[in-house]
Amino acid sequence: MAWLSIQKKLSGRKRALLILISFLLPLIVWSTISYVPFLWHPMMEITGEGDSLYLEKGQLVKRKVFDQENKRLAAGGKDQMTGVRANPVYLPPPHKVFVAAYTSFKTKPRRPGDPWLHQSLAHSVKVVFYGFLLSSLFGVPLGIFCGVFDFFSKLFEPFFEFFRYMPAPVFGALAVAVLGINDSPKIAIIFIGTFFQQVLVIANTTRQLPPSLLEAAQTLGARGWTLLKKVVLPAIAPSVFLDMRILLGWAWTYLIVAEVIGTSTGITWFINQQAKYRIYENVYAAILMIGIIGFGTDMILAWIGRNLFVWNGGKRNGLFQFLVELFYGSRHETFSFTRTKYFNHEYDTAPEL
Amino acid sequence: MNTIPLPNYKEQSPAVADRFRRLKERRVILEAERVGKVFPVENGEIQALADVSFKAYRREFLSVIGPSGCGKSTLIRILAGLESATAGNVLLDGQKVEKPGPERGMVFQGYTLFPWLTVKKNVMFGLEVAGKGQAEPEALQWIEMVGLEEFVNHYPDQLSGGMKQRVAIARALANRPRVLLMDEPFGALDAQTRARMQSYLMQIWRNVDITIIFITHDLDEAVYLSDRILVLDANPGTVREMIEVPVPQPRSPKQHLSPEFLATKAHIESLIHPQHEKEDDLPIIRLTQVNDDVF
Repeated sequence: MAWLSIQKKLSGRKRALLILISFLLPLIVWSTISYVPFLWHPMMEITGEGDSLYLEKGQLVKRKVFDQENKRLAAGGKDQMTGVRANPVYLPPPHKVFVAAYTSFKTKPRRPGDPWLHQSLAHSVKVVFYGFLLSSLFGVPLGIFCGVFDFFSKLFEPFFEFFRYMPAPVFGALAVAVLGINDSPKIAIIFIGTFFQQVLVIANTTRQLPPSLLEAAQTLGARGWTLLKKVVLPAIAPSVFLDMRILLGWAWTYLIVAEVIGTSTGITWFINQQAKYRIYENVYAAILMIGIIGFGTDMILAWIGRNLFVWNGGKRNGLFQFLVELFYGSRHETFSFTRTKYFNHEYDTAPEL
Repeated sequence: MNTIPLPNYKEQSPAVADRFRRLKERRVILEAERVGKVFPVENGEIQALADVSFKAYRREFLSVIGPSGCGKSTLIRILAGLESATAGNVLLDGQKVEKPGPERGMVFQGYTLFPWLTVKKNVMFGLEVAGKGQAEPEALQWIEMVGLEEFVNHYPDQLSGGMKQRVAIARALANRPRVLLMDEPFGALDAQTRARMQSYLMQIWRNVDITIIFITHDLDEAVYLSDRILVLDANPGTVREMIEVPVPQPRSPKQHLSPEFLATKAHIESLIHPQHEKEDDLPIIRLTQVNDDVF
């Protein structure tokens, strides 16, 4: 089969290969720019300062400046500088970033009392977690209610539609004024950024529920709360779960804004601090870590989703089954075809056909 | 075309006539009294049903047939309580019904099994809602009755269309309804599966004390399954005729070619597709040579 055919799925091996390439490609581009000396490399790192009065060993200067200075030195009959071509400080090579990803955890904060990297990360995760939890606590039930009852939909949704056009960060100053400078305004920003979208998205998801399922349940005797509990909730659960994964991604985006409100904290503080010290490999390492945490969380949630919603095309994994049984005890279904004589006594008096 | 002269569909053998006499002596389970339905539309309203009256007796198999747009689906939805009539009443055991309830089971044309529940849990649904203690063994019996005991722990997505409808029938019957309403339940199935489902349904109907109201657009299906057939007219949906099918019970597939069967079918055909309404020939341009050796 060809690689490019419209609306056709590729074979498993081809897909795996492409997934690998999608990650390798940016890495290859980055490595090429970093390690192939004649590509880009607009700077010179000075290895020997010669007789230069103002340039020192180890300095990074533009090639033009380096050439001019050497020309000047040569004209004066003085010792020329030596140097190697280099990339700007803001583009460290991959190996430095990968080493930094490890060493930045081991490096003591420069000022005593400042948080270590792992503390900064934990702080960020905490803020996202509480913001998202708080939002979900109110947003999910309200979204479902809006999706089920036109009453709530018309009562809340028009205003939320309006409100979501006001970007959450603009409430930063207000949040600080009201809630102080600790974590509360940060959590509030994540809440504002997530909540209104969440209600609207989940309300829409709930409205996708096929009415025929509700009708079938009604002819089976379900109504009111039973209908909501036994039909609406299980039917929309996989879609709501998917919505939550997407919304969690948004919450991470708001985190970066939230962390510079009031006092700068968390991973954003770490990144800004390292940029100030011009240790850019640490900046890249920290950015990568946010990506890994976000992507990792999403992958774990996707895995949980596949295991939870087996009926929706998922598959139960042995590990998941083990964890479930660990917490809930094993639930072996027992089958017993015990005749309750139900057919006989109920229909004894039925007329012959 | 038909060279063999058919008997009149109203001629009933003594056994069949006796059966209808006994049938009508039984209790009336479901009754429609001058049911009418008007749908409001943008400019004015549409009369979907007008003055539809009929009685369904205990253990009767009653089909409703009619041209498309005759409101047969609307009628069954009103009987189920999923829609309300704008005129007239629906009586179940003499009691007026307005809301859906478990005493009127329904099987839909589309698959309406709950996809997140296994076959067993689907059949247990109504029993659990009603708070019956013995839900599981009872559900298993109904599953056994439709022959799906090997599939109790399968999810609906893992079943074929015919199997899904069998589960839907078991699920409706598990509530022990007074009447089973079926809205073109086999409409989406292929011909072979449909024939098999008809025979399953016959067997279930023989073994369970249940009145069945069955909507279909398939004449063969209606004549083969039913005691009586309610033929509706379109625009608005009104009762054209209540036909007593003269084919003796119990039915078997070979009766499809019996004279009574063919006569009944021909009669309904003439009611639903009158001669003068035959579609005009299509204005097709000839794309073949006149002398082509095709015929």
